[in-house]
Order: sequence, then structure tokens, then C-alpha cells
Amino acid sequence: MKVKVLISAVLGSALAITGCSDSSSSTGGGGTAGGGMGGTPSAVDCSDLPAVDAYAVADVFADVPETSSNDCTEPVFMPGDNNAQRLNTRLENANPGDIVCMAEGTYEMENTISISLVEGLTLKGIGSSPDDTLLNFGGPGTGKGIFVQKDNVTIENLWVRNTGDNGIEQDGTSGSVFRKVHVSWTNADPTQNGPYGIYPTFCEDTLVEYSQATDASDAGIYIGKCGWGDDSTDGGRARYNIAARNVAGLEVENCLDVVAHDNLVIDNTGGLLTFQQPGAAGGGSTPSNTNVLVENNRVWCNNRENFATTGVVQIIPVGSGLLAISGNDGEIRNNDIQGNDTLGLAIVSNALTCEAAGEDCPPFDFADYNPYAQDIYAHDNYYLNNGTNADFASDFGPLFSLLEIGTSANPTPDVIWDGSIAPPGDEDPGICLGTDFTGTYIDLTNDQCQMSSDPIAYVGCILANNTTSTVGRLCAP
Amino acid sequence: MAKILKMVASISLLIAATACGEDSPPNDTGGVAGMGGFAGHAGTAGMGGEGGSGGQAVPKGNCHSSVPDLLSEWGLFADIRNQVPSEGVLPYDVTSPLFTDGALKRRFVTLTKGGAIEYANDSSRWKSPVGTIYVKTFAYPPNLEDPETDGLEQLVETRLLVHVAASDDRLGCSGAESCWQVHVYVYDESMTDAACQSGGETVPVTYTDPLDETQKSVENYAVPSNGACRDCHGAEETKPIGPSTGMLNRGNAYGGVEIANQIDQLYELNMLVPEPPPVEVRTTYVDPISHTAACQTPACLHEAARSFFASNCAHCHAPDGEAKKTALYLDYASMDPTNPTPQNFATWGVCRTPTSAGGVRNCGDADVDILPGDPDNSILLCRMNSVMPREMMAPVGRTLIDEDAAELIRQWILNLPVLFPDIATACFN
Repeated sequence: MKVKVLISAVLGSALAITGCSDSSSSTGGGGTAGGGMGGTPSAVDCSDLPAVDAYAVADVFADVPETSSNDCTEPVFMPGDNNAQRLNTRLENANPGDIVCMAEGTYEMENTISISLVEGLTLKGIGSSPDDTLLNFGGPGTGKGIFVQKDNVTIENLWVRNTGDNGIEQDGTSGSVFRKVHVSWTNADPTQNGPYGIYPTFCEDTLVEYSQATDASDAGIYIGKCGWGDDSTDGGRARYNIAARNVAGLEVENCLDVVAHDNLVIDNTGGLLTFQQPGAAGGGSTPSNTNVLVENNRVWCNNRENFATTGVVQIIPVGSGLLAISGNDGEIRNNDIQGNDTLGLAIVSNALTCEAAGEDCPPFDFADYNPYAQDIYAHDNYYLNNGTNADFASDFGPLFSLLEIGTSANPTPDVIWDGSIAPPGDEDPGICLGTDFTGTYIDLTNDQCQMSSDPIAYVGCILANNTTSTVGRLCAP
Repeated sequence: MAKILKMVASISLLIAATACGEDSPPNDTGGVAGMGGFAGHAGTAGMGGEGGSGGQAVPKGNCHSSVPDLLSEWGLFADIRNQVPSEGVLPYDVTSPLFTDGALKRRFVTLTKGGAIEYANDSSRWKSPVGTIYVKTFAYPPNLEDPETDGLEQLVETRLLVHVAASDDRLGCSGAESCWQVHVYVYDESMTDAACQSGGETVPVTYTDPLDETQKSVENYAVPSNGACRDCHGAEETKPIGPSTGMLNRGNAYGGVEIANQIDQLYELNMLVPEPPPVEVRTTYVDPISHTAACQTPACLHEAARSFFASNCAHCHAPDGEAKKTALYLDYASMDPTNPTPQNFATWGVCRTPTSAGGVRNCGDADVDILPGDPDNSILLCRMNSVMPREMMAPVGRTLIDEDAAELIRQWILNLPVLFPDIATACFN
């Protein structure tokens, strides 16, 4: 790691922090009142989180839909020998719109299940819970679980376990639904777990709901490079899911128009992430994470050891609640963010993460990639007991040491913004916490607060007081 | 005793091969030229000249009812066991084959509805007309320690890529005018016919290596499911990926019949238009392994590597390939060594951080695809040396490491700074 570079990048910030803290950390460690959450959430006990070995969505969320039995009274597929071969054949030979109902039981799967020919298929378990229909894969050294490459496919009410690669992957299709799907791993060594649990990529109008993804060595639920197809489609929606014990709980990367709401994100290394990564283009050639709404999620106690051995998630500090790395026009509202030992919410530039990871950071060319977080509106979130035991060993550790934050004596402020502004630096980055923000805040560069006309009301919105644009999810006037 | 057995076996193999050459192509089997509607429900029953032997020992296939159960029903072969094609079915060979656990491949093409393949002189893939069937049989040398061996190659599977009009496709080609169907046929013990298998299968293979007469085995030879076929051939738009000028601009001697140049042959048979330029100006790949053995200069290594990538990686890693989203392009055109710019280098992976190395677990500190002069810190080579599904490249089609190719790529990476003195500009721009 290039500690030197990192330190020098933020050295000036020590001054800034001093200058800032007077005006912005007025309320100590207290949280804000939850705006749209129906009152102040109760305090979470991180030692008493919901158990997630079995499918627990029905215990956590009300109104989990029954799996409709009218279309699955008679199972057309039973456990037996060569389950993957037989199921692949069944799906290959199906007609568009067919519903393939799987009987309850354990299916040992010798191979990847592929939906690559027929559109509009539904594959679902017939039981009352996803756990009644277990697709048990061969563990490390085997491939993906279910691979969807056709439009309007629904995967419902089944359990995918111990895939060598991703649990359920969808590539380049629209209208996929993943409902009441459980994906998990049981390897004693979690680094051997597959990278992603539920993994829609290059998707349009994808829905992930009432699903549970645990133990993934990258992200439990990942929606990436979605929404760029045409103007009539959105990227997707993730709601009423549980993401637990993963390196990254729920991640939205390089998407256009994605909503993640009402999810329970607990016990991951990093809870809920919105990333804008170079090189992983969605639409056109310019990667961007645009118009992503993160709302009403419970982001609790994401303090799991980072067991990623690859990928950008390796840099996530243990104890990260909500991380917004780069991206445009994001809104983060009404989330309940508690018990995350390093930080509650961080809004940072990839220029910083790149240096923290010790990579040779290219000079970012705006034609190819914008590394700066811009127009992020984070308001009415509830913060409690975050940043009291920061991961000083992570790549970002030196920052916390330098700023002398992340301890119970001096917790990390509720919101961190790295203060990075796109050069030449004369435009309002639009990082806004809303007029009602009463939590604690810190930025890591040296001139943001001073130049803001009203640092408490419009924290981080420099130069221009605040945007009054009503387009998209920019800061409210 | 064992040695004598082996000798006898190899002699019988020779005889078989010779016989195969002398007898083919037989004129009395039903040719495919007049057959149409392969994908149709009707029309397949009476096809083929092997009705007598097929269908009894071989279990019925498990494909859709619109697909012939048995390979013999397609009428593509006059003699399946000896892989003698029917009239109108042309054998061809490629210069830089895809490594699939060392399997031998027998390739054929036929145009059942006339028309012609569109020739392209660059490295792009040929466009083939509706009615085209590409046939590829995967086989291994005989297992000479098996007392039951007939001394012939062991046939494992035959894969078909069939170009049909929407009206001949049960799904109406999902709205497209025409589409490519994939079908896989797995041989039974007698290897005289094969049954359609759309769901994939694992087949253990043991064979005697003809080079050193040692016994070798491929424990988990993977017959692909139709879905796995589309991992490379595409699901959104399935298409052939091998046939191109660079691959076919060569001769062959299949069945003992000498063909000077396959592209000339296709043109002379009116199976290819327009008239191709002379042989020597056509894009031509090299056989990566023999080319490397014959010529060790950095330039030769690059040509060998380029040809290797063209067939083993560029079916996905190309601007029109399934992995185009990774923006790592290893196709022949992208790797042109003439006056490359830093951007050109980055396009084929030089000092390029992968967009998603999500699968890589065991590549140490390597963080770029290709680090010139440093093969051990190049993710690309690490992936070639892996057999972990989420890490290995190519990701399907093999369970073993292609050792010869890995050594070639190692040498090539070592020599990159010699061949391209300014290649480091891609690393420090």
C-alpha cells in the first residue's frame, strides 16, 4: 500500500477537520431522527442478529408472498440421478412461458443449470419455503449454479448451495425475477465460497425480492452494469432481501436507474455498496453508476472479517455500513445504519480507493471515467453506534489513525466525504445531507467547509450553495 | 506379449486409416445435397444410409422431439465409425485448434440448401448461408490396452451447428430470420452411432498416446450441455466461431485425399464467394506449437501467440465476442504487431487491470493481464495454468492444462520487451 501517497493526499485534511469539526460535529455521536421510517428505530444488539442459516426472510419481512400453488400443483421434475443433465434437458426442450415445477427434496447437481434457449421460463420449487427444494452443487472447483441468458425468466422458491462459482448469474437479459431464492455456502474456509450469490449483470428491469444471499466471497446480491439498454427500461430493483455474512452484502455497480429498498443487510464486511468502477462499462464505453436510490434499508453490524481474495471488495474495511464510491445522482435516504464498527456512511472517490489499494492509479480521463462522487443526496438516515472500533489494519486505516477517529472515545462521524472534487474544482459536487441533518460529518480535504456558505445546512455543497435542479435525484432545494 | 498386441493394434489402425481413405467418399450413400429441413419434424426418418445399424444398440436421445434422436438420421456420414462423410459433406482442418483436453477433432461442413459461404480476407468470421451444417467430432486415439479395442480412434461426441430459417426452428428463431441450432451427439460403446444429448454429460476416457505409447486418461471429459455450447457460441445470437480465412487457408489430407488448399476447394465447389485472392495474400494463422518449435524469434513467438489467442480466446475476447464487455480483445486483428500504440497494447491486456478478475484466486500479486517480461505476474498466464472453473481460461472445454501453449505464452511474455521496445509505455502512461 502506498501509505505515503495516501497520507499526503489527506495531510491537508487535518487542518480541514479542525476547521470543520467546530461547525459540523455539533451533536456528538447521536443519530438523526429517521425521516420516513415511522419513528426512531430501536437500538440493535449486534450479538443478537437474526439467524440466517435457514431462509429467514419470512421472519424478518411481513407479507412474504406465498408461492402460488395453482401453477405448481404437480411437480414436473423430481430428484434422481444426473439431476443437472435432466434439468438442463427439461429447460432446453421447454416452450416459452413454461413453468417448470420442482418437487421438494435435495438435488445433487453435477453441472451448471443453463437457461440459454427458451424465453419466459419459470423455474420454481413447489415447497412452502425455498429451503424445501435444495439444489446442492459440488463445491470448490465446480462452476456456476444457475445461468440465465434469456429474457423474462423467473427463478423462484428454491435454494442454491455450494456452487464453485456464482450461485445464480444472469447476463445480458431483461425482465428477470429472482423471488424467494436462497443462496448460501457451507465451506469451512469461506475464501472457497463462490464470488457472488445472486448476480444479475448487463440486465434490464431485473427484480430481486424476498431472497437471501449469505457467505459470498464477493457480493451476496449484486446488480451490475444494468439499465443501459434503452430509455424505457430501468436497471432493476432489490427489495425485501437479506444479505448476510458476505464480504459485500448488497452492491449496485455501474448501473442506471436501480432501487435498493427495504433490505436487511447484516454481518457482512461492508453492508450496502454503490460503486462506479472504471473499465466495467454498462452503456456505451463510459462506466457510470447513475440514479441509484438506496432507501429504507437496515444496515446493521457489518463487522465480518474481510475474506475476499480478489476484486475491489478486498479494500473494504471491516465494519463498513454504507459505501458510495464515485457515482452520480445517487440518493440515500431513510436507512437505518447501526453498529458498523468502522463507519456508517462514506461517500468517496475512486481516486482515493485506488490509492488506498496501492494500485498504479491512472490519471483519470473524464472521457472514459469519472472517479468523483457527484450529486449524492444522503438524507434522513438514522445513524447509531457506528465507527467505534475502526479497522485500522485496512488500506484506509491510516486515514482513521491520522484523523484520530474510529474509536469509542472518538467515533467516526456519521458521514464521511473524502472531499474529492472533479478538477478544476470550481463546480459544486453536490454532496448533500439535507437541511435537517443533525448528525456528525467529516470531509477529508481542506477547503470544503470554509467555502460553504452554510456548512451545517448544506454540508459539502461548495461554491454554489446547493443545486436547485429538480431533475433526477439531485439535492433538494 | 503386450508389445505384440500393441503392434497388431497399431497396424490395424493403419489399415483402417488407409481403407478409410481408399473407400471414401462412397458414392452409394444418400448424399445430403438434396435434403432439406433438417430441423423439421418430418423428413429425417428416411435419411441416411445406415438405417440398418443404427437405432438398436444406441439408446434414444433426450433432445426435443424436433431433433433427430440419432446422429445417423442426419445422413452426414457414409460410415460413422470411420468418420467417412457422405457426399457433399466436406472435411476440413484448421491451423490453430482450440485445446479441449487433447481431443482429436474431425471437422466437416455441408451446405444443404445451396448458397455459399461469404469469404472475408481479414480475420473476421465467415458468414454461412441457411442450410449450413458444421460438424465436429471429438475423438481420442485408441486404448491399446483395452482388449475390446478395434484399433480405431475412440469417438466421444459429435457436435452440430445448424443454420436454419425461422420457419424450420421450433421457436421461430425467437423472432430472427434465421438462427443457429446446437446439437450434441454422444457415442455409445460401439461408436457406430450417437444419441442426441442436450443436457451435458461427463465421460471418462482412457487412451494410448501414440507418441510415447503411454496410457493417458481424461477423467472428466465434459460433453457440453447445449447451454454450455452457447457460453462460447452465444446465447443472444448463437453463431459459428471457428471458420475464418486465417484458420482454413491450408490444405488437408483427410482420409488420405490430398487437398492443396481448402479455401480454393470451397470456391471451386461453388461453396464460397466471391473468388478469394491468391493463397499467399490471405490472412493465415500458424500452428502455435509447431511454429514456435521451428522459429524462436520474438516475432515468431508473437505470431504463434496471436494465432493461439485467435482460436483459444478470441471466440469470446473480441469486439464481436461473448466477452466483448470485458474490453480485453485477443483477436488476430487487435494483436497486429505493426506499429502498436499504447492503446493497442492495453487492448490486448498489456499492463491492463482486468475489469473483473472476480474469479482469480491463485494468481498471487499479479494485478494486470500481461506484464511484459514477467509471465509470473501476468494474470493471463495464471488463468491458462488453472483448472479452477471460476479462474481458468478458456472457462469451458477443458479440464486439463494446455502445457505446450502455456510454455509458448510464457516465452512470448518474456520476449515482449524485446519485440516491442516501447511496450512499457502502456504501463506508465
